[in-house]
Amino acid sequence: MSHHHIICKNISFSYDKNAEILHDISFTAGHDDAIGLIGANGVGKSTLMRILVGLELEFTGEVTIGEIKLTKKTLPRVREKIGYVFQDSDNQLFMPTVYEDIAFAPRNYGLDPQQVEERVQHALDLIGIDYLRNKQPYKMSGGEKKLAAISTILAMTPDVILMDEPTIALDPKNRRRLINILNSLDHIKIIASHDLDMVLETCNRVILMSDGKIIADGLTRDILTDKALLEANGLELPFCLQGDTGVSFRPSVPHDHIHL
Amino acid sequence: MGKLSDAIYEVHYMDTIAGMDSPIHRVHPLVKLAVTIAYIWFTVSFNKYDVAGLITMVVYPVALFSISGLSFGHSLKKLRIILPLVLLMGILNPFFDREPRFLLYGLTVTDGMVSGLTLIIKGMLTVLGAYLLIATTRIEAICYALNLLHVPEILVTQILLTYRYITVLLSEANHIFEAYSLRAPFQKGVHYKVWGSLIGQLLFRSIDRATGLYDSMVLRGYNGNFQHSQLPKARLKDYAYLLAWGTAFAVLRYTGLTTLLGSLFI
Repeated sequence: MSHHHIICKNISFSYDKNAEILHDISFTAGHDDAIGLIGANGVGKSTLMRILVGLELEFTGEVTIGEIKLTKKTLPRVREKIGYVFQDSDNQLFMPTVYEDIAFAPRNYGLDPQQVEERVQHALDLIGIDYLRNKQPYKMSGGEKKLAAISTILAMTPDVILMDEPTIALDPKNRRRLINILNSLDHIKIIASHDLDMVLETCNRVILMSDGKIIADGLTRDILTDKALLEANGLELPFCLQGDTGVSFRPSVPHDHIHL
Repeated sequence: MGKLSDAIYEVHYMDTIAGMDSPIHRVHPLVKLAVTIAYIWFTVSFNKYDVAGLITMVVYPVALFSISGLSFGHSLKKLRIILPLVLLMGILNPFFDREPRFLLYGLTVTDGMVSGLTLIIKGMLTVLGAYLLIATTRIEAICYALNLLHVPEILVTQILLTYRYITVLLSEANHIFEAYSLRAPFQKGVHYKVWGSLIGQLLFRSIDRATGLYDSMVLRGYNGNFQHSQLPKARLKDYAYLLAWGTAFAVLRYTGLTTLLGSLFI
């Protein structure tokens, strides 16, 4: 039995023969991995995530999730093991209330009402959003929606959590809350993000992509501190590591116009 | 685009009042659905000249408004949108059916006028009945009831998802039109030359949204069968509610209560 839970071997993918989106992607992920998937816009991060959950099946190569090879036939079994948090929470929260949304997956997997209730409560408690249980998604803030979206996948008790830009559109307080929650979850995590400071705090490993290929795969502290590597691939050091950024406060209004 | 944001507000408002707590809100959704269907059926079954009998059916909305605590004035304001349609249904009757029926202060009232009025009242009451159902029952509970009645699964799912996403679609439309109006400050409304591209934009956004939504559903085990929430079974008082209204409707419809009451006083 392999100790790797995710095995990607030579994955290539394209919608159009002349424009390959992913080229020969190979990596493995084990039980201790929290992987930050980073790279400039359009390098194929989201496509790779979609392949891992079987939303794109026309790829070449091989994906194995928890000993199950990803094929059209094995999709339901694979998806039971992976929770995917969408970038836009409105896609994820389609039921009238948070409770109904979290209960959606357990019901689909044939659990009885008592078990559904337990799963929902557990997912709400893990994220600490019991107060949102009966709230309608449209009445919630972006941060609350994101937390509810994470709860919806936790109710499936997945082994792997994939997240696409989880901190996008979150205010600092909600972002901090999300980081704390991510650190408290002991699932295998793959987080695609441009928020390198968040990756620095939540991931022990980073995969850097560029032009549909893996450019670097290593420890977070090695990759996210390599200024030259990051800049060569359209990124920059995390803000917290930039030191003197050269940015200083310069009021646009002359001092004598400021009345305190 | 005040109207679009108003529409979003209206949907949210309906959701809020449906989530209120009152004896009517607590009635089992299947029972409320059955009572509503019965009410509509009995209302439309009145003879087209029986205005007096039909008016007695007002008792149902009056009772529900007073018990549920819903605002009658606010509800009527909402129903004004469909009033022209209801009026249109009966407005032509006086022209087709000109048989004199009776004289009222020297004015000949024709069969067409009476049947037209009946049709308008029927329209108003049935719409009010349906409104009271959705104003006192949450959408998931209505879908659960429809599911119990073996309404085709695809239809129930459509209702549920349309209800959830209508506000998302409206707010997308609102964003498009706001962005347009900010760059076309001297225009009133949207110029007809850009209608096509704006609606096209909205269509593409809707398709995008639908794809994302479907992906999210299949990733959580959806296989074509929507698993609706399970609500507690109907209790004795729910059945009593059904029986009470069923009996009341039958009495109002078949006993000629207005004639009986009239004969007591005349």
